[in-house]
Amino acid sequence: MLAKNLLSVKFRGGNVNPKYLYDFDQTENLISIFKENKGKKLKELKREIAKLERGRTDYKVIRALSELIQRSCKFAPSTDLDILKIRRALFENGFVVNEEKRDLIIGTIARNFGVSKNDIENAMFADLPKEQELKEINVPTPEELIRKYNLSLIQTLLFNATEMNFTVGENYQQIFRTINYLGLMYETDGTEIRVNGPVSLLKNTKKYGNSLAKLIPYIIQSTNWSIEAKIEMERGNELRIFTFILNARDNVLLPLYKEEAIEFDSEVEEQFYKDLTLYASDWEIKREPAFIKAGKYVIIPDFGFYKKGIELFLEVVGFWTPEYIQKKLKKFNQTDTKIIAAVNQNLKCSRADFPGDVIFYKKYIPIKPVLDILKREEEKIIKKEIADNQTIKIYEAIVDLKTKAKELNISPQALEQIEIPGYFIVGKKLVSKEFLEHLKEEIGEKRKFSEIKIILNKYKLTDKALELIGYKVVWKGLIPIKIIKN
Amino acid sequence: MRLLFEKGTITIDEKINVPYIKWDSRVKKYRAEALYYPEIIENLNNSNIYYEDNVLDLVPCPFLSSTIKLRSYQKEALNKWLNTKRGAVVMPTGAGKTIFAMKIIEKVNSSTFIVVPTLDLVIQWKKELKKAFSIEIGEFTGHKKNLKPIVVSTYNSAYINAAYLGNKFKLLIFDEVHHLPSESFRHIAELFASPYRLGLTATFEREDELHEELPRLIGEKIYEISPEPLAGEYLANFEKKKITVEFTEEEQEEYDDAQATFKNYLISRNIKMRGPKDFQKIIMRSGRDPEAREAILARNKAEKLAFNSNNKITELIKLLDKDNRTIIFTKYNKMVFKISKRFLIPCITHKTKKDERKEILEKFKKGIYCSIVSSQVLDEGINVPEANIGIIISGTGSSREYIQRLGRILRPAKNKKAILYEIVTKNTMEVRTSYRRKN
Repeated sequence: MLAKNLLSVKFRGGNVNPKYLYDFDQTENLISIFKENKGKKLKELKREIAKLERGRTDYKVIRALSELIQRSCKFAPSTDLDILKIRRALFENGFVVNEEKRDLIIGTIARNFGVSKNDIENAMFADLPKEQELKEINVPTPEELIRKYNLSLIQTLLFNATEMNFTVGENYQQIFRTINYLGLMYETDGTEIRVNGPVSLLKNTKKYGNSLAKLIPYIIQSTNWSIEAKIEMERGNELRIFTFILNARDNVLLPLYKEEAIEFDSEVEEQFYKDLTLYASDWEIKREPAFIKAGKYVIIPDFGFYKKGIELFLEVVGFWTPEYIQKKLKKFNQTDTKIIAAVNQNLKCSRADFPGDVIFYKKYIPIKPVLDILKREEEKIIKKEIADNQTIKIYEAIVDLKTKAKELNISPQALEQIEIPGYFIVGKKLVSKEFLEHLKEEIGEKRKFSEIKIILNKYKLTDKALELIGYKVVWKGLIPIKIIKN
Repeated sequence: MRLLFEKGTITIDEKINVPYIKWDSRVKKYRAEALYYPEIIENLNNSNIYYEDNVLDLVPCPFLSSTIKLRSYQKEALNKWLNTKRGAVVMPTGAGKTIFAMKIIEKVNSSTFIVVPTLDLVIQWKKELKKAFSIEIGEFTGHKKNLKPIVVSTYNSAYINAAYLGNKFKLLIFDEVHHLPSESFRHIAELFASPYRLGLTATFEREDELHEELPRLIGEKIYEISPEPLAGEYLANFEKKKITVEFTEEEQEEYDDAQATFKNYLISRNIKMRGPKDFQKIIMRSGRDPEAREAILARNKAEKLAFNSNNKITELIKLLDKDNRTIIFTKYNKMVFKISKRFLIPCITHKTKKDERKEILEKFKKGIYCSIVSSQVLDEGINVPEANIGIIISGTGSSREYIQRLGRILRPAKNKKAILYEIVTKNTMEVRTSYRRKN
């Protein structure tokens, strides 16, 4: 974040946007000034920077960037003398008008400290920030600096925000937690989250601008984020409301956040996650994947399961206080979304308290019931797909089951079970009657299995195709050797 | 029906017809700013509606008693305040604002939250309060946070924590209340539900007219007294003197150059300077127009030349006297250090660390130091009753600053005769600046 007077923005119509930086030239220049002036006093460094500013209208950018670099630098006085002691000694005489007398005093003090008069003069205010020397630079790369600068611009602009709307693709738990922590309030229609504060309802206020600015890093750590904020700013002596819009696709250079290891609220959840990734490997499992509107609350389920358009959530209810349980139950009953509740046995809850599936657990959440529910939901979908797709038409002679299912937008399991006149399923392929005729011709008089296998491999078919055209495989021990007419 | 305090607001769970409330669909309740708590309650009482009031959750307070005796003008102010238990009282520095406030605390005899501008003032207030009531006094600052029946806080900390603290105190006191109307600090008054409010200041009016917000935030100005009627009896006798100096030749040349650059810009852009707003406009332009920026830099240079003219130093030498206790005021830190270095006079700026500042002030009070030079930090709050001479080397031209600087030397002491000198440079805008504050 920057001081308000270092904020560079441009207005267009009703919109306001920070003037983001994209190129590194300027920053490289500035960083090298810092490097070159190592050991110099801050005021000398500032003089060098001021040279860059001269005659430029974007002097704010230079000043803001220097400010950001300066924060990662270390400054210290140029002297090892005890500056406070020196000042105390200097002031002890009351004021001194006569210059010769002044020189005498300095001389005495210099002798007492065992240094030169000049040393005393220099040490007198050596602890003032601008008199301190640049001792250490933790130089960011030009890119890092630009990313930091752009974020600072956004945050500084948001100091003037009266409210903000945003969407994110993940990181919900952390974001909602932060909203509460910052004393903000949210509303949501299920996709977009609107944040402001308690007083915002009663009047336009910039009071929460600072908190909204603090929320930004959490939003931009997510994926697919978008932000729209109302900004109150003076323009032409008049206070006006502007809109600020930004989303992940705009490709503004912003800080990159390291991917953090998944953090679990409890050991129970961690164990459960490990087990599930093993046993339900064909499902995509996400942590805190979404937020679900539940009346005036939101639920952020602990887990989300995804497969073929199926979306299932699981929330672990392991907490103890009655208020917490009451609130949870209220939330559960105010949403239409299906959520599996994994409930600690020791809680005073019954199956009837929850609108959806309930799994009770003692120490660890059992995997089997969860897998059963997943399977049940999957079968439901398959049944529905079968019912909805009774008149499928296929034109290919032979086609991959998966490819076709994808094309038809149904699951392969469903396609497998739908009867299609004139078509058969062979392994992972759908084949037509005509194709089987063609296969029969291609086999002709060949009987050696090794020869037959070449043909089958060509079409990626299994032995089942042979049965369909009236052959069967003859085995010797464990090795297929030939085919004969059935 | 139930009224609750929630993050600096009041929520009501049923529909009623009272002003200031609004339906909040986020929580399915009605909501109002905490500031309007007394009005809402009054409305409910007048309409004979039964309600459960859970807004205030006051810090339990023991019975408070003190031996404080008020002077006649303080009594008058107290009676005015007790009529409505709200409002601002304007008294010059040294006239006993703290004593007056403590009497009000005793009258209200309930939990009290006091907001002051600086950490030094927090310490000063706590000391006085402890002496008066013999109880432990709480503090809510960046360093320390504890809730006690009486708590002293800074504007900054109170602003940050208002949504949390707002329902815990019956009486809310703002020292140097002219700070309150600023855009962020006014939230303190808005987020607190405290029904009783008192503002104290020596300088009620603000140049930006924002003091007009004060009636809404704490109540009307109910009492005002100027230094003159108090001088001699309750305040030191005082005199104001103005000394005009001329530029050195070199300075005059530089000054004329800088002024010409600025004026030429005005002419070239056809801008007429009528007030600070016009200057603001040029600052706004400087983002696009390099010449505007040059003009501003020139103007700043001219101002600095006028304020820091070398002949002022010559004049200062004449005024320094070891038998007096002198405070020298400047606008710029640069001048502070220049004077400090040249004359070996202890200096205090906003960069001076707390311990050193304390040490310097102590030594000044004891007479070990006979003079101090300071930029604007000493303008407000700090008690230095021993000071009898003030010398303004340069000022901003606000009458508030002038009154406050005068206030630094007004505290009464035996046979004290206070003089406030002002040294200005002839034929410069500084003369206008000085003229401005007299009006």
